[in-house]
Amino acid sequence: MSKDVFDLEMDLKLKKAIEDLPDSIPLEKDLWDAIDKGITEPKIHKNRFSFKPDWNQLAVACSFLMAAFALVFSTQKPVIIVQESNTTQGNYQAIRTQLKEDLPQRLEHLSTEAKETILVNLQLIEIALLEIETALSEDPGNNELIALLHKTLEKERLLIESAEKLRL
Amino acid sequence: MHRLAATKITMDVIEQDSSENYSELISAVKQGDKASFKHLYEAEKGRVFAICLRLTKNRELSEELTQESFIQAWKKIKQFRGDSKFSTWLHRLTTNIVLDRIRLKRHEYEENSEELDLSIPADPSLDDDRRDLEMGISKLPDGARTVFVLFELQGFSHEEISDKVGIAIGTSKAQLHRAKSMLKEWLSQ
Repeated sequence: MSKDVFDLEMDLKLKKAIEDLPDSIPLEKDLWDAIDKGITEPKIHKNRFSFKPDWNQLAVACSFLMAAFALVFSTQKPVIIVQESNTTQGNYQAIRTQLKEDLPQRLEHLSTEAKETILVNLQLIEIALLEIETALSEDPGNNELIALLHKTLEKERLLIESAEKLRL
Repeated sequence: MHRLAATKITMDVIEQDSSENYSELISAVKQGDKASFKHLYEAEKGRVFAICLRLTKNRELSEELTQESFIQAWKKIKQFRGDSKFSTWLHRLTTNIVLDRIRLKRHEYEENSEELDLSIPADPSLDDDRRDLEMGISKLPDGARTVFVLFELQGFSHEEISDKVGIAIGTSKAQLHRAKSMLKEWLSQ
């Protein structure tokens, strides 16, 4: 049998097998009770870390971040400010504003698991940023802290963008 | 809707099979009728589970994702306007939930899938080719399997796969070619 004929036969065999493949696989256990519980009690915490978002706290955290950001860029030496403040500060402030305004809507369309994961990570980032802000208030010229702040803000931006990408 | 009425509709639906006349059940579900939703669950659970299992290879995770899919379907049912079949809408919702999970927990998922390579059971009622194909799908590398399931079994286009999975269209085509080559190789043995 030539290779072409063999390939054609295998194409047909695969196509037939795909067409005949059952579109259903039986479940070994009935999930209805868990589903019923899930649709009766919207929050599902089965064997998972529980996190209830507090939008007021998040808003306060965001305000702190904006203040921290303003502090960093207003206390830098002129060389750094000239190079970065016009573009970077504007971008981050825009992200802050967007975060405050759009985050609930962005998260609304995600699965419970995805939403919880993003909110938990956001809160961890907020905590880290607050600690950096505290450290910077004591040592405003510390370039390592400034670099860490930039890196953490970038992580937060990526996380927020991932929420957008995960929307259904 | 009265429970008996919902039961009758579901029996009719099951008898009609592919005609999928879910409209009355869906109307009742939109009004908050859980009995009707349970009938939709009974009718669709196997297909939703198949999508989850073929994408993840992990039975326990697939049960959890099936559960999550139906919970989300209940919450979002008012968004279903009937522009497509209910099953199409539900299966797309399921696919999005599975892909979300894979993206968020890729590391954990990959570790589990390594251990559960053959978790799709070899159904003795299937003929050899179909059984071999089911096993073959579960053995495909993650990227190739995801694209194969979405394209060949779920009917997604390469453009949609590119968007949902976050890969280039060319990569999606290459992964599909790779998957089919591997499956043909296994079917020929």
